[in-house]
Amino acid sequence: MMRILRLWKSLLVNCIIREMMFRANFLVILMTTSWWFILNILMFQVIFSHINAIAGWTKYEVFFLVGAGNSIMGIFETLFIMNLMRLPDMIRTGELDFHLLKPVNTQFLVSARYADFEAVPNTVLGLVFMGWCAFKLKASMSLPALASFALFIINGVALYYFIMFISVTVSFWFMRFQAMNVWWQLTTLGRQPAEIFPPRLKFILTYCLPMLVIVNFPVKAFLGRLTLADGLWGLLMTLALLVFSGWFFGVALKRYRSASS
Amino acid sequence: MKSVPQWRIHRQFIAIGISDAIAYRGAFLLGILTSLIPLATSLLLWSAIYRAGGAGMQIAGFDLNAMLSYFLVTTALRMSGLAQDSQWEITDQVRNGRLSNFLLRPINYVVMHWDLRMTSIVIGVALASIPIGVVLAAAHSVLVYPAAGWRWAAFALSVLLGIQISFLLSVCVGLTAFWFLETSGVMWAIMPIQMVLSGALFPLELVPGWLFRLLKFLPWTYETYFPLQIFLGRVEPAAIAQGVALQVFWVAMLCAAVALVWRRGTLRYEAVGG
Repeated sequence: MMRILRLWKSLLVNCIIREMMFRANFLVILMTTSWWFILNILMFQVIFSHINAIAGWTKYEVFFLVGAGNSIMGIFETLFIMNLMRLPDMIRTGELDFHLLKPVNTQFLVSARYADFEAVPNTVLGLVFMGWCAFKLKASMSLPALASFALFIINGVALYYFIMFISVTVSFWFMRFQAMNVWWQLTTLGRQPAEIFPPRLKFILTYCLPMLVIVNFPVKAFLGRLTLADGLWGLLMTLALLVFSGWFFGVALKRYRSASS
Repeated sequence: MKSVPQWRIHRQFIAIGISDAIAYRGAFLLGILTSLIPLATSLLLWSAIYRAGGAGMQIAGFDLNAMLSYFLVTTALRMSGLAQDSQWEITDQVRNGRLSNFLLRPINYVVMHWDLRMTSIVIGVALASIPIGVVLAAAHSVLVYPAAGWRWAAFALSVLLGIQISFLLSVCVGLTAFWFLETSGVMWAIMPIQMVLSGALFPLELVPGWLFRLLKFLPWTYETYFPLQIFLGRVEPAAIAQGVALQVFWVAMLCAAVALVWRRGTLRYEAVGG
């Protein structure tokens, strides 16, 4: 485990150095990537000029949720998305050979080799915005609240990664399977206040397709509304998917034909 | 040399467009099913918003049913392929020099894309009609739709004009590849803006009044937003006539713009890699 984390650190440093070679303006990237975020905030700003709360969520709570969604997706995109998008191509061209030959966990290497720093400014924007919302909410910034918030942010990123990784692994069987897009759209569900969903749908999205665990849980943890049982379930689900994805990737690798090499 | 009659060229492009659309039917249908997810999200979110406001609440003149209908019909229009873009392909062809292929032939490049796009929309409507029909039928109790026949006709006309505007805009954007090597960044950046301006994310009435008045002068408003206004009965005959006239105006302006960009652009064209 420590070995993987050390390796990850040097991979990230390597990517930062590569990035430095094509230095782009932080502000330009921020302006081109943060549109969705700004639009979403503006839309809720207008909505909250008509009402006080949506399904029990006040304005700054919803804003906080939008910020959290932005940052969690930003972290996921920075660390994983480039790699996951390349995997189907690597299978098709046989490029995966190079990863299989290296003396590290292959799942780790295909998932985290390259980082994409385009999403970093947007992630930072989300974090700053959340800080402002917390100030407006007069939230008690106690250590337990912040710690559980951080824990569930990491849990959300990890959970989302495992879901995406499993759906990309399916491309060992179906080359042109575009499951990632479907999951991508499903996250639009997960970024809404959980209480807008009818009870049965909310149940499914929390306990079966855990979309609401990803963004809603950290926010609820921060606001002190996450029950212990739900929190444990969220962590347990990530752990289960960690084990499952490793097993599933192993099964899928058996189908790898190292084509065209 | 005997020249090929124009109609045979068109027929050929239409045939290509048909086989293209049919070849990708799986991806297209998956795309339709996927776009139901954000639709469901919008419907649930706005239902919760109106629940919070109590019975009879209106936001920017929309009551709950009008708001839900707005999202249902916008999505139906976009699902049928109205939101497809020619700009990616055009940019690609200009950048890789594959445009040369088309310049050498006795055809009009833009007209070719028009043929392909219109064919794909027709096929798209045919393929999407069943899922769209199911969704609209399921939602019939909240759906607001025109009662009068003439309003349906005006809606159809303005949708047709909206399609032309969206096509011409995407050609203009695509052809900027003559000047800029890397346009994908620009296109990703303007996509959300375009989506907002065409009213795909939320009704434009939600933006501040001064901005709304400004947006009404821009072509994007006339892609899907204006046709929807007709559909939902939010504009009266005089305003419809005025809007349709503006649509015609934009079609003419954009045709001129495309012709200009094309002439200037092809002069600069270096056929890199071609």
